[in-house]
Amino acid sequence: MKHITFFSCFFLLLVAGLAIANSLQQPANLAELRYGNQAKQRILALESLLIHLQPASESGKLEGINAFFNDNIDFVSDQDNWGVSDYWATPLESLGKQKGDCEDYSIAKYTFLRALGIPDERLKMTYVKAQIGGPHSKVYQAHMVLIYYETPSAEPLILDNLVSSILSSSRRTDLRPVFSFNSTGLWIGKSTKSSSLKSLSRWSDVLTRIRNDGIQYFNN
Amino acid sequence: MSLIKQLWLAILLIMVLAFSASFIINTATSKNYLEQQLEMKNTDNAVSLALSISQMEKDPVSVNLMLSAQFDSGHYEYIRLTDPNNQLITDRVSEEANNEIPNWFKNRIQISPKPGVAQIQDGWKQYGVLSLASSTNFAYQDLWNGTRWTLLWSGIIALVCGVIGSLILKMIIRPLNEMVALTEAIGNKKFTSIKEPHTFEFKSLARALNRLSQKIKDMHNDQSKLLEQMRLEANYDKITGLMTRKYFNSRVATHIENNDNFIEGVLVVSHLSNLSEINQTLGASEADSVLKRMGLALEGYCNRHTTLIAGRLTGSDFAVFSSTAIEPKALCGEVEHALYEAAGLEERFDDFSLRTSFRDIKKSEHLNSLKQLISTIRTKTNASETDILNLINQEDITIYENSDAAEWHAMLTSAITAKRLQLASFPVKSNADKVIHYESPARLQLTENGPWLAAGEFIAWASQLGLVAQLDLLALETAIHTLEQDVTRAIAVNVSTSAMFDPDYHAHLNHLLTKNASIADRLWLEVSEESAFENLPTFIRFCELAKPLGCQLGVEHIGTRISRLGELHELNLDYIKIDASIIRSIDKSPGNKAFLKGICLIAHSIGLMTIAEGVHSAQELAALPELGVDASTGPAVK
Repeated sequence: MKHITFFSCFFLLLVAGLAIANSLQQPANLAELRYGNQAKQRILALESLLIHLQPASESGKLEGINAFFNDNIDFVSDQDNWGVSDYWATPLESLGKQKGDCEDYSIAKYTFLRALGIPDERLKMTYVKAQIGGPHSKVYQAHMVLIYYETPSAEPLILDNLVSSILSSSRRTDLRPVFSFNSTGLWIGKSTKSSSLKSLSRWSDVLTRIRNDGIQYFNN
Repeated sequence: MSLIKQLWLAILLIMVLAFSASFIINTATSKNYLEQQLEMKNTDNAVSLALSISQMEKDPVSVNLMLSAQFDSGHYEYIRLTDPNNQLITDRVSEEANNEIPNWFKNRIQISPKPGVAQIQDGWKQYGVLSLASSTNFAYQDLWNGTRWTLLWSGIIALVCGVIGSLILKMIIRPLNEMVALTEAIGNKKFTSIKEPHTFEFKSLARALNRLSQKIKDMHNDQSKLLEQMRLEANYDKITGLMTRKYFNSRVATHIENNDNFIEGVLVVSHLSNLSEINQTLGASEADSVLKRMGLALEGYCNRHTTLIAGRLTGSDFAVFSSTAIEPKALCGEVEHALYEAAGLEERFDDFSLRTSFRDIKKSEHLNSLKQLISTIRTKTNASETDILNLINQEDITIYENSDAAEWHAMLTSAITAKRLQLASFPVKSNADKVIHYESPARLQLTENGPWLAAGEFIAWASQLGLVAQLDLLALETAIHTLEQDVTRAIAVNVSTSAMFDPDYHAHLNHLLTKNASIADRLWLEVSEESAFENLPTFIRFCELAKPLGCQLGVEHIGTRISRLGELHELNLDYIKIDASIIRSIDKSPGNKAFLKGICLIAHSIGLMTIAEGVHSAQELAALPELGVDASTGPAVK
């Protein structure tokens, strides 16, 4: 009996892993086409990480994904990276170029944590005011992080590209939250020509583009 | 269902389909647009409100104030705030509903934009979720108004299109209606023709119909001509073209006995004393041409006077009969003169002579006595002129003949004013012995309590004094009065030439029959053959006036203008009455039998009923049905 349970669990995980592997085949090919073989390798590495993290605990998933994107994306301002003041890139673009700014980290982490089955209400993209250069610094910067609530009233964990480890909000006195959002109640355009839909907000626009990149496994 | 109706329905169906398709697409597009706009507004408003609340103190009073401020100053269906565990913190719900828009419309269209949802933070902690939905009233109102306008304009455009369409349809279809009318007319034995329409298919059809109509018409004309020829051969002398003795006798007798207008006439007989000598001297063919010239001259003379008819009694006897009283000696002189001139033989034959004598004819004289009369005259032609004068019967002159015009005028006018007019009554019976109508000649009482006089005794004066139309009108009024009294009776009334021309008579006829529509089909109006054909345009106008009123129209005394019978078929007549001269001794005359049969054939083929006039004997009456006569009248019909 124990064997059967174990076996069926293993089988289900295998199927889920295969499903993810299959689903990432298209983004990998797209990355190769756009950014070269190295980019494809990074996508494939992400794919094996996802398979690896599938059975892990939520905190394990958070650690894994946070570390992967912090390690694989170098911080560059949008002006330098894209030539515009602000651009919300899809994970494929960020991983392909290996570059991104704060919201690109948050978007990538959000996307794949959702892919690993973490519910929407536990994750939030949050605009924060960051104090740069120690507790007495007068330098503040607009910044974006991904935060995680284990329960609705729990103290959140903060996934930040400025700090490599995940810390609880009480330990991040340098950050002041301003506003947070997730995809609850959000309508994502079904059109493949998302850029032509001027009515979409920046957030729903990037979510639509993510889906158009072939990463389709998070739902509202 | 008529063609025009079907085409109409087709157009209507197409228009309804086109309009409803555009209408549905229009409404759906508007609905989608409005829904998208509302969704964007919902999201934006939720985010900006959540942002504001995130930035401020989260005491319940402030939060409630914030929500109220947003709710009261905006257009919202609801604004709801729930905590992270999905428990309601506070909400605002609108209760107003737009009653202007009917529920069925709301249920059918259903504008349901997604609500806007946004997160509210309290520092790092989650404070709650804000969701709000804008009011859809404005969207419904907009859509409802749009829908009503679209419907209204669609309706107006459809109406205009319908009017234009039906006009065009009518224009296209019109030739078809004319052709249907023509076909029906052919069915009713009326052979008219129509103008060829422009539409190709209609054109060929109309042409074919016209050809058919013309062909049948020609056939009738040919038949009429053949009949005319038969009549000539049966009743007219081959050499002179004058009436044979038998036919002449019958015509004279008919005048005397059957013509109500006859009161007194003159018979003139002219005897060519040395015909046999002429024959021997000139040879048969030369003598025949002399006779022919004489016949033509006599015929020509008589044709100039409508009251005269001429005949060749025997080889050497010519006769002229006047149906009115004229100066007999003058007539003798003129007849003799015409014959002399035509013969032109005085120089070649010393003893070429014509002996002419005359006799006044009274109403009372009968056919048998007429034959006797003619033979008397013939024997007397050798007698001296004084002897002939002695033959004049002057005893029967009535008292009225001495009256002058003024006296006559007074008497006739007083009779008309006092309505001293009666209608006589002679039944006309069908072959099944059923009375079709009563012939009703007028009887007038000139002086109070005086004798009732037949038309012949006063008609000449009435005609001279221009009172015939008034008399006819009085007769018509009397007839209509009788018809009102007796609802089973049908009456035939004579319409004289003067009445036919008289607008006053027309107006009264129109008025009386419009007032008494129920009696119109029991009133039979008849015009004599002579009157109808000599005044054909007027007769046609009269028919066009009288026919729509519903009365029966006919021509009486048909007999001498058979070849023109075809001209009657477009007038929509109902019957003809065949002159007594043709009916007389019909049982013994094979020629007249064939002739009468032909008349009936033509009459039936153009849809006319045939009535025989002046049937005298049971033998005559018995012979009529198989010749095609539908009904009869006369002394033998009682």
